[in-house]
Amino acid sequence: MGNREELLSAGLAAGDLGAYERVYELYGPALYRSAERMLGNRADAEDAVQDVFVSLVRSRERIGGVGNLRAYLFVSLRRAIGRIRRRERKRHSAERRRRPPAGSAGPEASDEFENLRRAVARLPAEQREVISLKIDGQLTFAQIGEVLGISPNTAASRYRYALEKLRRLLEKDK
Amino acid sequence: MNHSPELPRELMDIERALRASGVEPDAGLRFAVMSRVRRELADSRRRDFWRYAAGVAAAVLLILNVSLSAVRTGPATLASGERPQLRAAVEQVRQIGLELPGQEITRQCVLMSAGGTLEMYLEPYGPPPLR
Repeated sequence: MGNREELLSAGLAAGDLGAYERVYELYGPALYRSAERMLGNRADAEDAVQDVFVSLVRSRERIGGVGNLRAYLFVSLRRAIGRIRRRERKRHSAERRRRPPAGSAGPEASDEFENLRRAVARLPAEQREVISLKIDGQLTFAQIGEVLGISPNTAASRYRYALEKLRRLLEKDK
Repeated sequence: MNHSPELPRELMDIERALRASGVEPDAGLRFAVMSRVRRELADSRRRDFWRYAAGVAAAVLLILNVSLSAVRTGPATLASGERPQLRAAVEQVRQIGLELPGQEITRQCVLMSAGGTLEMYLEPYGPPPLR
């Protein structure tokens, strides 16, 4: 762990609000992008990011032992996404059904991006996860392996298969 | 890090498009996250305080318990320098003929005298008169 991350971890452990703001600046947007791609809607992605930060506060005494803060946050995000999915499966409320369908980025998204997002939404969950960690989280394959509990080589090949599948899906849609 | 160099061009194009298609969070998310963090930190500090207070209370109770237990079960004998009133009280109780072991009589007298303002009041009485 670098000196900067050590200082940040010390701040987090001490409950220093500034340290949490810094973590949000560094990783918040990436966590959000990743959650949004995985969950397919903004509201749930926001919930997931908030859950990550709440978990960070609750486990702050153990944060000193964390080797890589970025990987740690994405592990936490993965858990939050799992909780939200379970909650959503139970709920299926009418309000949720009125929201834009999974894969929609909102009115500003172009057709090309919309097609791409729809194609990503059709990938198997494990491939979508690798895409989101690599592209949105900017994690290395070693870090992805750490988050998913797989080897870096498996992460790399899963990523490549995901891209190839995406290419096929996009060609079919043309 | 832009893209994985070992990928063929068409996959690199998809990778680039994926990067560009990421959705940025609303500005309000930062505020919402920091509000949750602030609330959670305050709650956890409150929990830490109550956990500390409960620990202190438990320690005090334990010490009290141990002290009382020592008083109740420890050997109760009077040393030679003990207050003469206490010794007299023990003797008085013994003469009454209560069915208590000697140590128990001493313990009761010590406890009564330890009451500070509590006056020891023992009205000696003997066995009922024979008719």
